Amino acid sequence: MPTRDERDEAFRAFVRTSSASLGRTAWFLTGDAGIAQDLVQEAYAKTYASWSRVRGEDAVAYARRILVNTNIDRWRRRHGEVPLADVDAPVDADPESDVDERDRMARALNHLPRQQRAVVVLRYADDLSEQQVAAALGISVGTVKSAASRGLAVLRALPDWELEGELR
Amino acid sequence: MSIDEARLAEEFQTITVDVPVDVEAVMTRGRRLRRRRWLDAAGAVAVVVAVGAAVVALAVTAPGFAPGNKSYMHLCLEVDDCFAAAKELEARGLDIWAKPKVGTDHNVQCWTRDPDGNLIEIMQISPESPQAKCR
Repeated sequence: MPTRDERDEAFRAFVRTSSASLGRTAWFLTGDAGIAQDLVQEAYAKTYASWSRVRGEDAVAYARRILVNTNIDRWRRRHGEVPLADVDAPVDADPESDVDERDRMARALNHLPRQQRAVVVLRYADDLSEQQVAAALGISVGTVKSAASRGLAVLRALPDWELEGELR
Repeated sequence: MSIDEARLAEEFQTITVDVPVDVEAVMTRGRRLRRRRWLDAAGAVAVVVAVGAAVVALAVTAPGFAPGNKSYMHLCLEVDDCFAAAKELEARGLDIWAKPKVGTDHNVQCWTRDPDGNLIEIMQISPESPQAKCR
């Protein structure tokens, strides 16, 4: 059995190597820097609370699953059980260099219902396989495929959504 | 990936986001969550983690708490290896009046008493047990 200090050190190392990736997931799921930060903190806290069970498993996949579920809980608290697209959600106003690009992406993603959004973010922003997305969301690979293609169709139809180039 | 999918993935890659993490705050909150789960799991009676890097956590019975199941009304110490713990305690002169065996909850448990005769359970948590699932 590792000591508590060893477990904590392993956890810190895990956070160092995974926070950039989970931060992206949280940011694109919410489109808001503050909410994303809270979401990442909470997902990591829950992961730490179960750390002795997580060992040996794919810890990043575990933490990402917690993060997605925590976001769904947040959603339900805010909206009740009805999945509505969160069209008017605030977008991040951080004056970074590619802030326009980020805002545009956040606005576009706000048009997706939450499951489609989660699938699109995990599949394309986080570059997970269809199987990994299915496992993270607790849905079938078939549902991942259809949600991804429906989500993509919604994005493609948006007036402010222009993929680079004309091949659409 | 289709052309659209590949473009979308590329588009995402051009965007950088920075979400800072306060790892010490995370661990503090995580410990609190873990303690709360333990208390919930035990019906808020007395809870434990022990031996080696020993931590014993005792909780006061919640106001109005009346356990339907009297078997919860004892102190239980968690160990990594119940058989080894029983052997060592016996070697040190304690009476292990119920020898280690696997219970219906899949955990290995044995029983001793403190000098006042109070029951003390020594338990090795199995990954399949309800307790393990609460962690």
